[in-house]
Amino acid sequence: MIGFILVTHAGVGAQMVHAVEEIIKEKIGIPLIEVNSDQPTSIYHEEIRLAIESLGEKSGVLILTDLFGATPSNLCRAFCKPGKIELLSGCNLPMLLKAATSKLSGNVSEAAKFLKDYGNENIRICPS
Amino acid sequence: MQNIECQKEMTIKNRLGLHARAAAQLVKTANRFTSEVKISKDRVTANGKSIMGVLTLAAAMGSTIRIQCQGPDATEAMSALEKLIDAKFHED
Repeated sequence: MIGFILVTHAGVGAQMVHAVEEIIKEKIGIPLIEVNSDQPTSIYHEEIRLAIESLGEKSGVLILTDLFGATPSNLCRAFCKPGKIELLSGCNLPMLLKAATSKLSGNVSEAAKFLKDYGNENIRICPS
Repeated sequence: MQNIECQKEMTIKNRLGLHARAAAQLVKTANRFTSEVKISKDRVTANGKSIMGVLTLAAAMGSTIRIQCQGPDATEAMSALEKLIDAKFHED
């Protein structure tokens, strides 16, 4: 199974997790790290490392972040190993909901692609 | 295994309509059964076992949805979904 962690700017991730948990009425069990720009990045490097470690044996780890190129995302890039630990940025609520409710297994690159497409498909214009 | 097909039209009665928490309850109920569950509104049909799918229907209070269940436990699935909608998702 694929394991997930969520790394975002301060205040973003907790609200996203809260919204998903309110919807499904269950704890989602995805480790969350919120990065505050006032703190040294070394703290977060260690937190991310521990979060990945806490997932235990998984077929792969997908790190979800809020904004590509920003500090939370940049910190995570150091952990990326193709096929093992990958990063998916621009995480939106549909993506987090899907990650929390479906047991994605197998290849982490495919899971990343699946969730990216899922996030895109669920951005909608109304009336369309 | 017997393959049963049933369908029913229902009106959404809770004030907030088929919003996220209600959709999640509906999906959780549908997932208790092996039968396929489809929910339609107007010309849009969604997988009744997907929260985002059900949300795409944007079914507000008063709207009519069509539930289609197909599979060995379709009757039971329909009955459970009917109860949930009739109970206004235990909201209001």
